[in-house]
Amino acid sequence: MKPSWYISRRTLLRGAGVAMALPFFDQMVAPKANAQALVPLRFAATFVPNGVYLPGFFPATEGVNYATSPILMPVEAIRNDVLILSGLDNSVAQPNGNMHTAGIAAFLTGAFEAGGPSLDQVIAQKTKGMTPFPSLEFHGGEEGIEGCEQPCYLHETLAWSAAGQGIAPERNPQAAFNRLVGSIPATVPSSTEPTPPVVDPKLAIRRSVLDAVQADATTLSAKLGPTDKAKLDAYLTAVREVEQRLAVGVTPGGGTTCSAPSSAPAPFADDYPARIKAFMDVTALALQCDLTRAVTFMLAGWESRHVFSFLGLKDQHHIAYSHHENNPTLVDGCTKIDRWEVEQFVYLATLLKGAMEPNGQSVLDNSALLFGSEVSDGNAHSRDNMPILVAGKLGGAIQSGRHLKATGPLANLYLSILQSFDPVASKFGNSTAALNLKA
Amino acid sequence: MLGSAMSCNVDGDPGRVTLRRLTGPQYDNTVRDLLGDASYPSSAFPKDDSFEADLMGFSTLLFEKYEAAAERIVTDAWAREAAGQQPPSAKLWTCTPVTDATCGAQVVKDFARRAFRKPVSDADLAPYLSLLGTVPGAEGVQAALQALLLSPQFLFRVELDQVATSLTPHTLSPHELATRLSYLVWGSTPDAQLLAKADAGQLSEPSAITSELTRMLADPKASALTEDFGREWLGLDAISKATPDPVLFPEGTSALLADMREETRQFVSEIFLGSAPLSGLLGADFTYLNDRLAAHYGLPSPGAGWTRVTLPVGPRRGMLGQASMLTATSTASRTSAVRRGKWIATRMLCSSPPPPPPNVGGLKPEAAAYTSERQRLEVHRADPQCASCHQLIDPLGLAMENFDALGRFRNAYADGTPIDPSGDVGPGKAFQTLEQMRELVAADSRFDSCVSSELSTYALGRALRAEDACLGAQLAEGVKAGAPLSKALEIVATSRAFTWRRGEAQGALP
Repeated sequence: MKPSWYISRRTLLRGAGVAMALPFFDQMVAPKANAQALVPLRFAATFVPNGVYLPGFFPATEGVNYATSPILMPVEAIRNDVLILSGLDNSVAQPNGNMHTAGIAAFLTGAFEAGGPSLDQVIAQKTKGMTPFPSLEFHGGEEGIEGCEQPCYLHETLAWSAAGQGIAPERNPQAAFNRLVGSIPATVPSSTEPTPPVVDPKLAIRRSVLDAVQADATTLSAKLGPTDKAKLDAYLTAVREVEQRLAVGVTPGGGTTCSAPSSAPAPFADDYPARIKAFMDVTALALQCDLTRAVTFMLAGWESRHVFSFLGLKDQHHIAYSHHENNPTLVDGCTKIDRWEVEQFVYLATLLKGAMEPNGQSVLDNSALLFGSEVSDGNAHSRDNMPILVAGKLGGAIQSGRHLKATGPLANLYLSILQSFDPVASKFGNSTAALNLKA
Repeated sequence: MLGSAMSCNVDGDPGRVTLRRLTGPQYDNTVRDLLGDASYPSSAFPKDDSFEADLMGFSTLLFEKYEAAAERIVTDAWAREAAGQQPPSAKLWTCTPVTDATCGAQVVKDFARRAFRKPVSDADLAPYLSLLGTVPGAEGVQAALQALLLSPQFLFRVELDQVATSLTPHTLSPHELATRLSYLVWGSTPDAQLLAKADAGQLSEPSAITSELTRMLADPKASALTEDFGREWLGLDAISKATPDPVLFPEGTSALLADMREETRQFVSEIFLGSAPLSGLLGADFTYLNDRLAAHYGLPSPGAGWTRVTLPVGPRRGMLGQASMLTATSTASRTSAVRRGKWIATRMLCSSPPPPPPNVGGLKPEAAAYTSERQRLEVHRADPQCASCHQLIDPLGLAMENFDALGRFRNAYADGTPIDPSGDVGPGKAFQTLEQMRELVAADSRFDSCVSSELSTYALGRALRAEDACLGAQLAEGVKAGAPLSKALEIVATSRAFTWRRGEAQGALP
């Protein structure tokens, strides 16, 4: 059986020069043999900085009949696919330190200063070898922003492969797209039988180069002390992963239909909303085509100097609007930003709701898409009652379409998501018990 | 008189720096010097470095970026070679024709020595020479060169111990020391002269290190100190992220912002590479201006282009009076005394206050009624949760309120409320003006130890620890006595912490 991400590079390129009225076109239908047997589950975390205007976020009542809130209005369009979770905390970010930096390092790890792997990386370990990319990491904000008392790298990513081992994210949606498309074998997709691979001389050279540096690194490793050796091991792991992807025979879990954009997006260096949308498109492509099962996407850094001028606002999110000091004009600006961010999340969920699996379910039905932030109320830097949304049903593990009031650390939610990927998982970060998402 | 660093160097633990991967700027400078590539390839890499070293883990994404860069860099350099345009110091074709097997191997070997910054053994070379057997002709040589740019011995600054797990201190190898020196001053790979000195074992004496330092500081490549050390320590990047509101501040054009950045770059460059004391960052009597920036400051035109200008005694002197710093610490619509105060506390005094505790409400709504930053912050400090820390940083920032969010001088706010810059830099250190505040900061012993700690962190690739107390004290003493950066670098570069290392005990990792 062909890999589910088996869309032809040639097919993609053929579309590249054609002016398309629509950004997407149906690309191919994968072979359906055994498709129902193994439906892949996916996880993506989307992160927005500086919390939200909390009084405008959560609905007043619990359950399925909640009345929506000013910030969650965009959710109405896919109301039945979204779980609103209140009451969870990110308190593990405490002892001390900058609330934002510490909050980000703890957000997906459930550990102080990223003292353990993040949820996406634990999932990536479980799904390794099933897709070309164990995980993907994106960042929509600008680089090198000030504002850390703790080491700045702690707030540059959500993804940690191990304690303190951050994965630096891609910030250019065009490069992200090209990398995904570049992973797709250049063979013809029309037949259900694999065609003989085209011998690519450049690929052979690339493999030889990888062999050479691995041999060098292995010799070097024997001469190093424990910390240096661990650092070089991370290098060797990366080289091997690239090599494995070049090797034929990566077998993913199941078949999906798969839509791909007709051409690569622009880098959108100066157009923030276009850049965010492009990353959402790339995320949808990766999940839909089963190129990965785990994605993290930070929409921006907390101290971003970006101004939401397209929302009619005049100043930066963090210092002006999230610290609104209860000034009504600023509260209104903060609410606008928050609602726009929820809209972007809903956009991603909607793309995946429209993407059908071979078994007739949507990709969203088999995904958990997380929306969250490093603090809850941006004005107060609080870390209880975190603003959390989960879109998708994760193959039936999540009963969505309601507002659930919960208690405990965020890690309890993560543990219950993880159990869909690893049924025997009993602990994640500072979890105390898995959250019951079905009832 | 400054004592010799050697007095600190009797014995003791030289400390240990973890294997360091080249930072983005170091990668760019290195391929520029090795291969004549001036394209800043790291602009496509994921941002993962800060100050002294790489901080993130290694990822497949990063390796793929290195692969793409190596392929392009070698292809371009090869084309320049073929066209006879490769700079002599970056020459790849050290023999001809490269398609000849012996010559091809020679080219790989010569480049490996420069890329690895040391003499290469047959064992080092074997994996790369084997590529010449796998891939025929010139393509094989190019593949080997690409592979060398992906080698851990290129991407990381490798330093070895005879016994990796022995804690017995030993001197660095001459090539390891040459590499530390060149990345310290140039942010780049050692040049031919430095490698030759290392080959000849002529770097062991402090006088040899000092004389190389002097030569290196006179080289234009020493601008890396401003670009890398200055960028991180002083936060020089932040100005390029500033976004003044175009309606409130129509004067804040991208051209003006670029001028602001350029002023500070030239100013810091003269402080770092000239003979001025490092405290000149706070109060030097000069700056660099062009017409547009001089007009912005309300100063007379300095003449054509960028000109060194002597500034009268007053608030404009030093970095605290430069529009770059003043704009970068403002929001898009107003000044922020908190950010400005934090900049001084963090960068000049290394005494950043702890961050706000959780669940503080931020400024109370009544603060919005005030136009004066001082009155707003007084509301803030009325909250005892906030007061203890904001008492430290607010006065420093309020002393700069005479500069607006684009760094223009003003005596009053738009509604006529007069600005009062007075405050204190701690108990018994009251000031009336920004000039007095600057002098108090420059005279503060925390300034000396702050500069000392920032510089040694940059130079050693690690934070100062208890065993470095002697070096730290010596550096701080030097800064206090008015040492220029060159002297401070000499103290670090001849220290035991810089010239020695040790292994690491087995089981140091969990």
